Amino acid sequence: MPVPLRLVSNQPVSNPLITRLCGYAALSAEEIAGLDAAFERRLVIKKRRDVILEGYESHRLHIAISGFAARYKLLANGKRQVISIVLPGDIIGMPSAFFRSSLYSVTALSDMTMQVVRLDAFLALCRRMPGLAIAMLWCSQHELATYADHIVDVGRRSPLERVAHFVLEMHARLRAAGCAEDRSFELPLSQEIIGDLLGLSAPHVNRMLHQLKAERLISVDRHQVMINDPEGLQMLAQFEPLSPLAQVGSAH
Amino acid sequence: MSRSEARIEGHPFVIRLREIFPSLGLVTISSLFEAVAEDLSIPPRRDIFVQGYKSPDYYLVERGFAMRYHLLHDGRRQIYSVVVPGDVIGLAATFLAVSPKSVCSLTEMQVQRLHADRFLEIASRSPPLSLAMMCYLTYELSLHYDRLIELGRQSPVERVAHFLLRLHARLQIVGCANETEFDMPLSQEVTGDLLGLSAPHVNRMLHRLCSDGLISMRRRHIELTDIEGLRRLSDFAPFATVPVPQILPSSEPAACDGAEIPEGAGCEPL
Repeated sequence: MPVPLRLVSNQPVSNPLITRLCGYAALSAEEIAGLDAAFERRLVIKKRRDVILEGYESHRLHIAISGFAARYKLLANGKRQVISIVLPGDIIGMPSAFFRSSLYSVTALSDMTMQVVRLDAFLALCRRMPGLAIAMLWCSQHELATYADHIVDVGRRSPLERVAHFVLEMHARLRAAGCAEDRSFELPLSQEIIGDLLGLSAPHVNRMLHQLKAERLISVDRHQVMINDPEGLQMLAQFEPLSPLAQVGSAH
Repeated sequence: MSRSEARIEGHPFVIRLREIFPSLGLVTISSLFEAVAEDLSIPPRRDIFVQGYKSPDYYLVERGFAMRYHLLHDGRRQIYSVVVPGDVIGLAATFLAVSPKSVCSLTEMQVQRLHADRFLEIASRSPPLSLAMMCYLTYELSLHYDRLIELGRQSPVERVAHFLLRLHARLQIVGCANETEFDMPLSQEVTGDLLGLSAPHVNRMLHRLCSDGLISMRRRHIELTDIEGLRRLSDFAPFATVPVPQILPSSEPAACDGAEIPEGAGCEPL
């Protein structure tokens, strides 16, 4: 099993998962405090370490606080498909922790900080706090819609549209977790990983990024991505923002 | 709306929730059915949801099949999942501002239409119901991951084999398939649009699986004659879910009924 490198004392931090969940439902102070208290400890995981390995049993959830990871599946023929990029505020182990053994592996793409919570403790918390359960339901629904889009990417979008769609999706997800500016965000991912996610080769991703830059839709400075023309990019990618209904509470 | 307990217990959606939540109490489940506005039958090839529109309702599928798809502006269509009995359709359309995708019936369907607002009201009082729905969505998420792997990295014959195994497993849970056999609900065209293959290509791959002795086919009836062989060929990993009460602490009451949780206990009323 992957071993965390070192333990860090449990200190209060701003938690991007809580930021995300508050976007879905009006959480009470008690619910937020309860969620915060359920986290066992913070871990630091170094770049290129595995967080979860396919085939192993893991009934813990890892909440990404900072850093990036890739969820992937290795096939018997040695091919790797990156299924998704894990961003701050994402839960690693959803869906894996629900199964007898993990179906996918997750590996850190940068140094990461995480919080760990046992699945049973987390579910027990949801049972005590209906608002949290609803927020999690919303959150799962949102992920489902996001991955449906990935299927459309791989199945039907042209390479340029895929890369444009990818940039917009990363920006929208990072913003929801409070980790991006209005028009820019940091994305320390290699073109190889982006290619494995989108079903393109790394040089192909590179050419598409250059084309987006040449058309003045985005600019990239090292790992900093700037969206210069959000509307143009959205039109190109046929990106439809998955905006959750403002606040669940307001429905009643 | 009153409906017999036996009908609720036998509803494929309830069977699926029980697969994950074996001790889900009848009180919780019946509360879900309180949100049912009407029983509907939907003819084949009817759009149930249309991309970009708002919908206040969603549907529990009791019988029949549908497909979820996305249309790009220039007409490119990607079917991204098949709806089988026991699925819920339209959750996204009620949770998000507008429906992100379209859903179209493939066969005649028997469904229950639920008011989303009413469901939320019930769920906000009954965390086990929200949790059960969350577990259901988690399972659906794994199905999306499947499709990404199929489209991204598998050869045509592997895709078809993998798809047949997963479909069989899903149908088996809700009693629409026996150990090895089921009636294929999809045309080869729809299967092709799901797996990124043309219909004749799907046809060739099915014949190849037949001649390799892995499946046999009579019209739309498919028998998986060598499940192990199919698994090896397609890297298939069954979704063995851990029943939720097993991973909940034993100090929790065994029956997961919302009725046991006093309203407003430690929570903000929604």
